[in-house]
Amino acid sequence: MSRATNRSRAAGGGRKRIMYQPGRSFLHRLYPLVKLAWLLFTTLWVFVVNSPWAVAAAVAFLLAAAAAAGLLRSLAQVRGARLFASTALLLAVLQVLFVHSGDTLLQLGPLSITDDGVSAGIYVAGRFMSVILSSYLFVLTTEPSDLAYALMRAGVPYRYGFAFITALRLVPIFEQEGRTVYHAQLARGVRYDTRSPRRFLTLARQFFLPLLVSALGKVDALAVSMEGRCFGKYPVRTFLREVHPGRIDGLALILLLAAAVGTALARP
Amino acid sequence: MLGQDTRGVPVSQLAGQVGLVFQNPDHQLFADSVWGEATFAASNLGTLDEATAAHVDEMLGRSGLGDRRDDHPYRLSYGEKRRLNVISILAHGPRLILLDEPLIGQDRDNAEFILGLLRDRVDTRADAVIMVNHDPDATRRYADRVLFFDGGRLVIDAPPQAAFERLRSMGREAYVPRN
Repeated sequence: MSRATNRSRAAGGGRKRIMYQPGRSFLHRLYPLVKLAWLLFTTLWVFVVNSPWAVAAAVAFLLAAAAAAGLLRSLAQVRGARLFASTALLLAVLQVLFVHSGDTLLQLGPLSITDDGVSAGIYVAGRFMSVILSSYLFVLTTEPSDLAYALMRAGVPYRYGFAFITALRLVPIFEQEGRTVYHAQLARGVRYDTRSPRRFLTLARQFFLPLLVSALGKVDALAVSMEGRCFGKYPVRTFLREVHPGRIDGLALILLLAAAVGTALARP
Repeated sequence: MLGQDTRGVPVSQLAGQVGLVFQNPDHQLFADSVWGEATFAASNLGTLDEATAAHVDEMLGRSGLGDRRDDHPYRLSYGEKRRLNVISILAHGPRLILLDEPLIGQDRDNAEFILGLLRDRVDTRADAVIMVNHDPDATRRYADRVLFFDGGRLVIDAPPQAAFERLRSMGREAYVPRN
């Protein structure tokens, strides 16, 4: 494999960005705020329940939802997926290796694997995977502008909604600019293979300063441009494109409520 | 590049032989002062000696930045940043110089300054200069060879005069000098 290819992969060039991927699955069709509610619920739930098997079930549920929505391949291809999977595995292995309470399942010399260690491994890695998986599914299936419009309809001032949409739109631009700055630094003899913390801070400052200046310049130009088009003149805004909740959202909310009530009743 | 297979050479090593000016000047300003910026690559590569410093000083003086050497580069105007970009990639003496529209934001005198610097590199050191440019007059006066791209495809590769004749015959007079 060539050096150039290695560098490109190191920069994440060979994998998909974590961003909305258009589709018609049931997850895509869910109202953004309902999905947001499910995301928050899942994140909280895996930290509230005490059973590692319940957390494992949450991971299985999320993977099943991804499979039903045809998103398993997308999940495997997005940038960071391998890192998160290996981090989850590492978390599980660390628990298995260092938790020695409970009944011994396997003894390999000085290494003992106990049922508590396995449970802790499933518990910790499962929590981590649940949060990551639910966040990935939310981002992959939610059009950012739909989320912003839904939030605005729910009462969030449209200035903040617009700021949110604009920030999301600028992400790919800054990503591209980050690559340009990085290459510009390499072309001027900058080396990133340093172990000195002081040198690392200098490199970080030299990398982020051009990006910050560019960001401020863009925001400044955008603000002047928006003011020139009377942005902010009216206290409320109208919507050209409207997103409404449907039956599937009602069903999803009922399931969410049932899960919440069930969890509350099941807790001692 | 320059007779070597770049796949086996670290970028930090290639950087000593290549000077690269990007289209947006803000993307390659890293130092806290005009002087630091002008000598940034030479410092990184360990080639900043007295002769280099004197040469940078002379280039800054000719570019109109001589009395701004302690200013932060982001305090410069667009055209000044562009001239600083060019000076900063010449300081360490690269043999291959690549520039993406370096004349943007320059008045006639400053454009002549940049083109003169580049021409001097070719004439005195036999450096190779490849410049993306949309100014036919500058191309006629300074270039040895014209590569004309249309829609990402190379359609002309010829000396300036022959290239301009081809462009005229293709109905692309906008890319031909007026006099």
